[in-house]
This record gives sequence, structure tokens and C-alpha cells, in this order.
Amino acid sequence: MLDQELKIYHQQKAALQSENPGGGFVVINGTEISGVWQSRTDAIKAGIEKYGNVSFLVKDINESPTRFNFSRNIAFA
Amino acid sequence: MPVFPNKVPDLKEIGPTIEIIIYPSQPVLLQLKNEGKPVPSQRLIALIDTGASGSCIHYSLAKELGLIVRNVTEVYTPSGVSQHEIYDIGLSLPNLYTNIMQVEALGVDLEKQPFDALIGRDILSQCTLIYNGWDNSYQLHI
Repeated sequence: MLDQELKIYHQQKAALQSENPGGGFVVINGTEISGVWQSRTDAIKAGIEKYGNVSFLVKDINESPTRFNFSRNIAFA
Repeated sequence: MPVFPNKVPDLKEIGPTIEIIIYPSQPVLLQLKNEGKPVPSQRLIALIDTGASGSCIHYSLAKELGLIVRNVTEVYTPSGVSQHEIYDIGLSLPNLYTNIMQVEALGVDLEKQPFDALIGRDILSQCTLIYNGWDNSYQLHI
């Protein structure tokens, strides 16, 4: 799921952080970077307006890799 | 400050739970309203889980609400690290009269659990939770 978009995100992450020192949420659909918005909700809204209610990546360009952690095991879907 | 006090027969067994309502994220919800389509929602029971950094929903709910994956991230558990899908949802706590909060929730398998969602520390960061094991009671303030 979103493999291509994640690849682009990781390739471009440093450049996105450099161009957006205040942070933000990037929208990527396929190989296209649509832009960076200050809130996640605004980014989703912009993505839906541009691509429709389809799957695209919305990611915090400064997202911590250890953001999701659980003290017990959970069965993921 | 709204408060949800609750007392259960065996808090150790059941854990602190609260009723929640799940919706699609705000942009999707507005799009559905603008198109005159019904807005899906689900009322369910969530475990208040201080051991979870983020909130989670049972994956079948994502299908029922027509949610679309818009993020994938690494998840750390005692078993190790793995990549998982995240859904953008709206979430309200009707007992606390909250507005709809915008939340990124992990899709997890809660099939054999007595609840359909986990309220993690992302939401608890805006709350006060008092857990009184001696008398099987707890309170959530927001």
C-alpha cells in the first residue's frame, strides 16, 4: 500500500524539510508531489480536491520514526 | 470541564472503556455532505489504553466506513518493528460532549477483544484520566 509514494517521500524528505523549515504535511500521489500544507486536514482536503477521494500519501515531513509504540503486542490487520 | 465517571464490577478484568463515535475525516465528511450523500458513522466501545501512543480501530470498521489509507508508518511493539497502515478518522466522545476530533488511527485486529477501538495517548494528551483500582472506578476529564 502506497509503496511508490513512500519511495518518493524518502527520496525527497531532506529536500522537503529544507524547503519547508516550518514543517508541514506533504501530499504525494504516484510519483507526483502535490505540495506541502501546514495542517494534515488541509493537506487531505487539497488532495481530495485534486485527485478525488482515492488513496494518496499524506505525511508529516518531520514525522518521528518512533511515533507509534505499544507496550503490548497487537495483531495488525 | 466535562467528566465521564464510571464504575465497573471488575476494572482489572475489563479495563477502563468509553463509548466513542467514529466518522470519516473532516474533508471526506464535507465532500459527502456537499454531494448530498449520507455520512457513515459507528458508535462503539473503546479501551482507554495508556500503553498505546496512538489510537486504533478494528480494521473491519475501516471497510464499513469506506476509509482510505493515507499514511503508512513504523509501529514499535514488544515483538519488534513493522510497517502499518493509518486511517484518518473523525472521533467524538459523546459522554464528554466533545466536538469531532481529527485523529490518525492504526487499523488493528481486535476481533477477539471486548472492544472495537483503543483510545491512545494522542487523545489522552488532551485529557485527565483518574484510575482508582481500589474501588473499580475511573474518570476521564477533557
